[in-house]
Amino acid sequence: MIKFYLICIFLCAPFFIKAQTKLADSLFATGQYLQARVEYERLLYLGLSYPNELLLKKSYCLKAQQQYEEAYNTLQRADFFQGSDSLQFKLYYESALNAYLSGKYDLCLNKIQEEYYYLPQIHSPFLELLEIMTLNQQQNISEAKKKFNEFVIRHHLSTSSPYVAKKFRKLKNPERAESMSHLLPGVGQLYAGYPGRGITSLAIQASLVTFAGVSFINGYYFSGAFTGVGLFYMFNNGGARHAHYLAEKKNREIITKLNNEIKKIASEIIK
Amino acid sequence: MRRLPFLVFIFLFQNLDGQSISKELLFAQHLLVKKNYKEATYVLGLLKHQPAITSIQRDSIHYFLGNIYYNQKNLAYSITHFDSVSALSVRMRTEAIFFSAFSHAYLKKLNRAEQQMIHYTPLDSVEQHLRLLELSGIYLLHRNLKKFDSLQRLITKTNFITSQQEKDLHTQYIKITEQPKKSPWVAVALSTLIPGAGKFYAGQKGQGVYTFLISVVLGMQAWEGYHKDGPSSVRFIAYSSLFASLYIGTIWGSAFSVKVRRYQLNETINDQILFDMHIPLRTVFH
Repeated sequence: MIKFYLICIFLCAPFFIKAQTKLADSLFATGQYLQARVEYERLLYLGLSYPNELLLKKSYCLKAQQQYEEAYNTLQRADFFQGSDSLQFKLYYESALNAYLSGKYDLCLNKIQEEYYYLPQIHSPFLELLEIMTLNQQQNISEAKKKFNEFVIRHHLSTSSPYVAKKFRKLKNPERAESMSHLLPGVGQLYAGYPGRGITSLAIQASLVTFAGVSFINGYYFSGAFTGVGLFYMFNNGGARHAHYLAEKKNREIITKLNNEIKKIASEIIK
Repeated sequence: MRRLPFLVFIFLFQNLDGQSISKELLFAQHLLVKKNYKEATYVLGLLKHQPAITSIQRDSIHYFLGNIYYNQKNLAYSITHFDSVSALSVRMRTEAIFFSAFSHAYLKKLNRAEQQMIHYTPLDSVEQHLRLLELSGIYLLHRNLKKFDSLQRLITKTNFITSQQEKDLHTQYIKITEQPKKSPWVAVALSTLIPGAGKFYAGQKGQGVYTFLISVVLGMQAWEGYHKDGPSSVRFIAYSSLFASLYIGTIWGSAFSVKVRRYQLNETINDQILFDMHIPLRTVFH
């Protein structure tokens, strides 16, 4: 009799596990991510299924809810050396992707390097493109360009390199923009790609110098020194800092556009 | 059709028996330990409405929710749940009272925090030490130094969990008693004589010097305008107006600086007191 019960229990157990996993999966499929997260976590708690697979699915829920940092942290609970190669690859890829999406580019590159080291047999074009995009975000354009050229050769692509375009060739140097605006007011803004702001800055500082000069000539030494020169000094410093900020802003715009080009290539590969 | 999995999920939660509720509570505890606060809140929220729930299970739900909101620094909700833990669950109630009192103190509801600690009867010597420490902290936050002094006679500073914080609270007490009592009127008088001197006196030395220099610069330009073009010239009127605005503003600002500086010092002391109240709570209960 006991034997009969035991057989029944052992036969029923896989059915219940499958049913519970199915419930969690269907909750995820219908967009009820919080409930799906609870069910995946329940399966983990009960130890009824493979933890790596469950953690991966839970991270999908968090990613769908745009909680990228939590998704990354969830994946770090997994044992990256357990399971099939394809599952291990997914863990590395999703970790890198979530790190990228949460703006943690160092962590993203670390995960990509780990994947290259531990799973050299798996080559994914998406992981390579993610690495290129991350290098772009880190403003390491020369390395990103090198990796992109290798990528094109490795995958026999006929696509043209976005790095050839003049606007993507070089990033602005914020320090240089700042120095330029110190020496020649407005030139730093011009270099950063904002001519209107450069001209305004130049006009203000030129009028202050003129005011100082006219005041000195007419014997208003205090007004010339304190209002003319004093305000010129303040505007010059402020203008230079603004040029620094504008160069950084321009770089962010360039990188966003560049990565959009890379994303286009990725979508072409998917097609 | 799209809502079908959700309905299945809700159906599974409907009318759980006592044993299943206990299992769910253990699962909620697991979620809490793993810092899955949203998931834990969701599970506990569903459990709260179960008809078969016992009083102790309800206490557990409030206790877990109190902890979740406390860890998420949502102290108002945390207090609501901690205060809902009944006297039936002795250990959970003890922790809930201490954390509720601390949360009240953090939210500057000091009378309520004091009442909670006064009406609590400690179960052992550790709780007695902890209660005295929390009360001392609350009195210091209240700046009720007489009551703090009277409590010091009861504090032995022998318990290893609280002794360091008891010493630290005494240091804060000395800081409060030795705090310089600067008058806003003195600051006003000083800034009237020398622009910026009131700010210097209030402790904002950099601002004081800066204001003085700006006043001198504007004053010199106003004098230049008066000397060269006379009192009705645009130059004189413009610079003297700027100087007068700065002068009056500095006088008002000096009185304000004394209050701001006093507030900043008090807030620094209060933060340290709250820190000293919090450390033993975590040591004992977590």
